[in-house]
Amino acid sequence: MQFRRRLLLKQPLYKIAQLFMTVRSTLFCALLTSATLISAKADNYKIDPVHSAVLFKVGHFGVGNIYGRFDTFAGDFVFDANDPAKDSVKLEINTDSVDSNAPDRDKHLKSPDFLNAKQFPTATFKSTAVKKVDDKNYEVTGDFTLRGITKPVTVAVQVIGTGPGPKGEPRLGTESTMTLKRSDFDVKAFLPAVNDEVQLRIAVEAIKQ
Amino acid sequence: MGSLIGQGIVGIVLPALLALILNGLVLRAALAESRKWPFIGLIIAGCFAFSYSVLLGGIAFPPREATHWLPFIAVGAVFFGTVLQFTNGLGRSVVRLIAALATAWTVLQLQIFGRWPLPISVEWLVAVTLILFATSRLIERAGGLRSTPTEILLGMALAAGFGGIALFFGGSAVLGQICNTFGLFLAGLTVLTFFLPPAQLGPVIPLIYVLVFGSLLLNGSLFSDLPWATAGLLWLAPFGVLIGPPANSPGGNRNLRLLLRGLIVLAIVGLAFVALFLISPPHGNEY
Repeated sequence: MQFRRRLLLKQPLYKIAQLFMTVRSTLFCALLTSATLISAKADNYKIDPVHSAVLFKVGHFGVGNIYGRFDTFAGDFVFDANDPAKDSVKLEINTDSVDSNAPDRDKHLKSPDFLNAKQFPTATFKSTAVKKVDDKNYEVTGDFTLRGITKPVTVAVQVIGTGPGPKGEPRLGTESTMTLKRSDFDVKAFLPAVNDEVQLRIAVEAIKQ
Repeated sequence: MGSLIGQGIVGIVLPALLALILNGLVLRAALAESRKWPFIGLIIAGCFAFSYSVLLGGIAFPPREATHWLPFIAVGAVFFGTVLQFTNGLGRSVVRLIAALATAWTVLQLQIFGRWPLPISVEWLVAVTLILFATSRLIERAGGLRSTPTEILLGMALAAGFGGIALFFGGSAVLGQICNTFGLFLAGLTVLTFFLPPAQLGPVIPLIYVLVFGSLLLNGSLFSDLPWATAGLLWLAPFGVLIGPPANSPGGNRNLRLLLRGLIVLAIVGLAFVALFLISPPHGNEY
């Protein structure tokens, strides 16, 4: 008897709780839907040059590899994890910023023998298509322009991770590699003593805009 | 390293030897003086284009960079020089001016027009055109009056040879090699004219020299780090052969005069190198 009375007394509370649960699950569903909608929209990212690098590697006399980097570059990309058709990449490298850890060599690399930095101050990459290989890997094809010559290249892009940066800003990190034949871009000095194939490695941290 | 040596043999030694043999044959041929020089010009321009092609891995067509114009300028200079050989007076000056303007335009339009303000670009075009025009005229006319063809060719060979070394130190080993090859052709011709002296030097060779060497220096100054003072002095250096007694003055030792004039050219070249070392300390290519 006492149990029955207690159950009756508690009935309104139960209904309130039931109502609360219904509202909460509706809200949760709504949030989930909106989150899905947000992620379905492609995000714009701008390369953070402080936490990025453009490196190159070229074989030297068949003996070893010379490594160098470009200190000044800029770029942005559009990334949609669910729809690679919306993805695009733009990168601009300042050829005058080449740094191979040898000032004399850098001067020579900037000369008409190699990059001709005075006449062609930038090298650019613009994507034309992005193909998703798996959750972490993409294959980006695009046009690479160096010394005024544009050639199609394929870049293997690996997504390293996503997450908030020091100020809480959303970031995305990738590492990409591509191999160019420098003779395709009229950079033929010291072939084949200095290899024709040059590997570019582009490690990028980009900030969501 | 083997491939670099191979490239040097095919791109420098072989065309230099070929130019030497062919020029020797032309100088010995039973042809009028005025008809020999267009052939010699064609040999030099052809060997230069071949050398350029080997050293740069081909001739770019259509040309996209100022350097790409060098073989075309050489061939164009032979054409204009041959026309000059058979024209006189005002017509000759007009042809020379067109050649100078065409060369200045091909070298400068790729690097200053559209980048620098238009009035400054036009000023450059006018200045370079006038320098090329005046230089070729001076070498041909004053050189013909005051110096023998051997002396003129010696001055040009020294300036081109050392110009190549300056370009090498100035940042472009390939430009340096091309210029040195050009200097080698002229040196070969100098030796030939020493043993097979022609009566007078036609306008073809001075025109090729001025246009090709001028273009090399412009390329070096604007694209590499060769200071303008060095480029200017190297340009002036061949005029060293105009200093001293006229070539047709009686008496005097021919060899001694050639040596003295060579030393004057070398002194100007030395000043060019002082400017190079003082203004823009050169680097070695040992890295």
